[in-house]
Amino acid sequence: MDSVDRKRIHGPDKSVLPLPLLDSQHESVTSKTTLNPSARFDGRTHEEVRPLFARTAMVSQANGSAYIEVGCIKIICAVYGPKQITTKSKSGDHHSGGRISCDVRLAPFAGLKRKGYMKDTNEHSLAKNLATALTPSLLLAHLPKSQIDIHIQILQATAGHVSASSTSSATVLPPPSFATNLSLLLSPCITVASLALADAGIEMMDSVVGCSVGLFRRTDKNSLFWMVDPSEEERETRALGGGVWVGNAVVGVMPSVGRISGLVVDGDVGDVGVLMEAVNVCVDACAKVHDVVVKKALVDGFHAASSPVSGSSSAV
Amino acid sequence: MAVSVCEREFTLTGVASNIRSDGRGRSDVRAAAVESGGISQASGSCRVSSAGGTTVLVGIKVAVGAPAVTASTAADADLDADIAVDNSEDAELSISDADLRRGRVVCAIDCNPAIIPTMDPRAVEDLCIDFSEVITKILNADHGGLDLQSLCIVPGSTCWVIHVDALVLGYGGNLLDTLFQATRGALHDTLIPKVTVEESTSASTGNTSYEFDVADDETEDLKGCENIPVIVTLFKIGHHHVIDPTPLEEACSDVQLSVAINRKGLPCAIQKTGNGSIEPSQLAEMIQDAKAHGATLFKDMDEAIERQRVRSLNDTK
Amino acid sequence: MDTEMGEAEHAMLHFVTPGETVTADTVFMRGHGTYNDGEELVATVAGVVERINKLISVKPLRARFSGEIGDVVVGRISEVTQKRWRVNMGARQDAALLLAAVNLPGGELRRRSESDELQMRQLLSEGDMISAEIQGFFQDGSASLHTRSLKYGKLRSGSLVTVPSSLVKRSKAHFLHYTLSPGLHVDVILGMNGFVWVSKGSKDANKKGDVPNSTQEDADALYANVNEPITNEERMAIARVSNCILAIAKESELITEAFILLVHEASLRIDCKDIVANSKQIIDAAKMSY
Repeated sequence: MDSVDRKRIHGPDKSVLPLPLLDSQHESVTSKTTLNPSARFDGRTHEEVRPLFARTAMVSQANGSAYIEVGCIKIICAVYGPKQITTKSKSGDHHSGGRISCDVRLAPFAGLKRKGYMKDTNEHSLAKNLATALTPSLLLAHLPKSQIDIHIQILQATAGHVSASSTSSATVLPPPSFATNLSLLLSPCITVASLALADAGIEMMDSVVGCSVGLFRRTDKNSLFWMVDPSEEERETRALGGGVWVGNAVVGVMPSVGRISGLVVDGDVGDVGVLMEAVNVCVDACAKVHDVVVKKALVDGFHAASSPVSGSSSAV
Repeated sequence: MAVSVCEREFTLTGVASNIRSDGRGRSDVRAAAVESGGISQASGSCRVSSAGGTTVLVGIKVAVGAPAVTASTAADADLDADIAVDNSEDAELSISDADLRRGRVVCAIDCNPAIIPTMDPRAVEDLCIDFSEVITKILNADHGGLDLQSLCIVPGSTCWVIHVDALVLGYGGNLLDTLFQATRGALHDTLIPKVTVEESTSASTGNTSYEFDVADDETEDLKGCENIPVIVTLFKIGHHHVIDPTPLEEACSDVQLSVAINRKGLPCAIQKTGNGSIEPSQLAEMIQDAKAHGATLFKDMDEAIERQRVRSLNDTK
Repeated sequence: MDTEMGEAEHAMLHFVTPGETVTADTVFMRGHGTYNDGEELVATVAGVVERINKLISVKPLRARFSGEIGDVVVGRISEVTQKRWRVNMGARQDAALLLAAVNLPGGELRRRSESDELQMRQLLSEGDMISAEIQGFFQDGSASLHTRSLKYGKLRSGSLVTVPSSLVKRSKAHFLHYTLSPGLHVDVILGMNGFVWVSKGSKDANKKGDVPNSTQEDADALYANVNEPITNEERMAIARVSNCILAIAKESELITEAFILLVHEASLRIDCKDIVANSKQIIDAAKMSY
């Protein structure tokens, strides 16, 4: 008591959010989802993806670039190349065609806490999975002795707010689980990188679109259901109105040829049938995203480049 | 690895005919010898040597450290600052508390580039980092089988950290599966010193403080080892896929699918690597095959572990 | 020196270690693996002393392949550089295969032009397997190969097996042909460097040797990248012979034409994929049937 500072006005030691208002809102939504798991927090069906904003030619110095916004995630991608390969590899450069190198960085202000500049395992994993998803679409055999550098900068990775509550149905921060970070960020990374590559005029077999799907288990029936493109709230709320998050799948799809170029699945997904169903829905969702967003962004970018007045960006 | 066009075609047609260069079928694996407990200084160890030449040695060291989420980091994140362990709330523990009570696993893989002469030294290092991440990710997740809650010493500040260090001693293909097999064997072999924790609640402030003591001689098994999944990596060569490939077959494969299968025979983690792409129908087929192989692998490993247990019991007599 | 040693001969072997005096007699000339320390001949490697007339050398127990002129080797192209290919044959250095030392499509006596140099990759590119003969050595000790005869060149329709080079002894026949059963032929090229190529056999038992007037078609076919069609039976036979050779190597026995056939016979009762695991049994059975 002696150490109390009398010059300043202290707030209460323990502060809580005005819960009654928030909780009742939440309760109505959660009760809705208990009855009908297909109705989600933002009113989407379980097959719908969130609205995406995409625009090309954001970085003037780069050969190609793109920017994407989905939910609270903001990612910018710059592509440099094809240019002379900088490192010699043992096996001989000519017959392995070109090479891509992906670099993913989270800005220090991207998350809730400031993150230093040291690369961590998340970024390394994201980069590796991104490269895996993009390589099948590129015609690297046409680019011997060349390399393409893809730089991804994640400007914002979370909504930045936490609706804390001291009651048992807590909505809390995602646990420091690697899987959560990855799936949240990998799918838009794939989409924006592919868009940037197309903007750079690099020859590709097809664009690649990324999509994620969350798998939930109904606590009462112990059966699985999936929801495409889970938002941060849905992922964080492990007890999602009658369902518990068990895992997620991130799929990179080449929509025109219908092939999967990237796949990361985490969690006790259980039934392979349900997983394959979810993956197939992702494939369809990616086709839609490609037709509506990706194509439009490229076309708009083209028009913007050819007309003197800066063109409109494509927003869905 | 540089491969001639003729060898690639020979491998592709061989896989398609189900007769590989060494006479195996697509689903046949090479025999592997599993030995545990060879390293007395380690908390647990295991060596797996495959007939094809891939040899991996895993040593485990357990150390007292901080969990991934500590009380201070949780407080920063706008949650309740007092992580008071109130017994009445036990039944309704919020998830944040559970995370404060988790131990963690850190895996590091080391491979001398000279062991894989056909790969660039930097590519070998990258490979080691990638595999380390895969194994760390699986073992730290809920589906990793280990009872990480039992590794908690003081919630929010202290826990057991299991350091898994793997050494690659020889390479003959199929490195990830062998690494995980050896890791699993080493974790089975691991003994954790017993810890006594004393709780004391200060009467004036109402705060709980903890003191813990690590026993010198008493140890206990690591809980949850039986539930650690196995990893089966399928290598797509042409239109078919094989398991346990030779280095030449790995070089001819365009898509690799690593599937972690749990004891129930269900996949709990899947990752696609490689420069190619697959159709959803092929994906379904590959996952089903992985499930079948996973079941066989579990059986073999359980037998190996049982043999090891009997052997070490006889040794101590 | 090609035959297996009996017990008595084994006892007469003179093992030396580095630094050990081999002989103090000055009448001997020094060969590989020794150096002169004043009057004495001292060994530089751990191995067996070999004496041929007045030449004393020490042959190491195990060493990377070094080779001699005339050796048949199997190697993999590792690099394509100006006017030559670099060939990895498991020796201390990669060997060089000069453009001037290969047969070019279009006839024997064709002059090498500039376009040939630029199109070297059309003939042999990185990763290709070849059989060749050591023509000579450069100053730095790397070998120079040639594929001047039609029996050498790009290898197809088969797979590579690697064994320790000390198990392959110099002999008349390095290009082996086995007729395992009517219509089932397997060819084996025993490289002195321990690289062995096992492939589908040609129908006739007589290999095409040096043919003075090679036809245009023969020459063009030299560098084709197309395997011959292989039936399942042939594929299994290739796998079986490969595994037999690996089994022989595992038991550290010399790999010879006759022994491979004996081991193959002995292996027939075991599944192809289990041959290497049961190598001891099979080799013992083969030795008994000598």
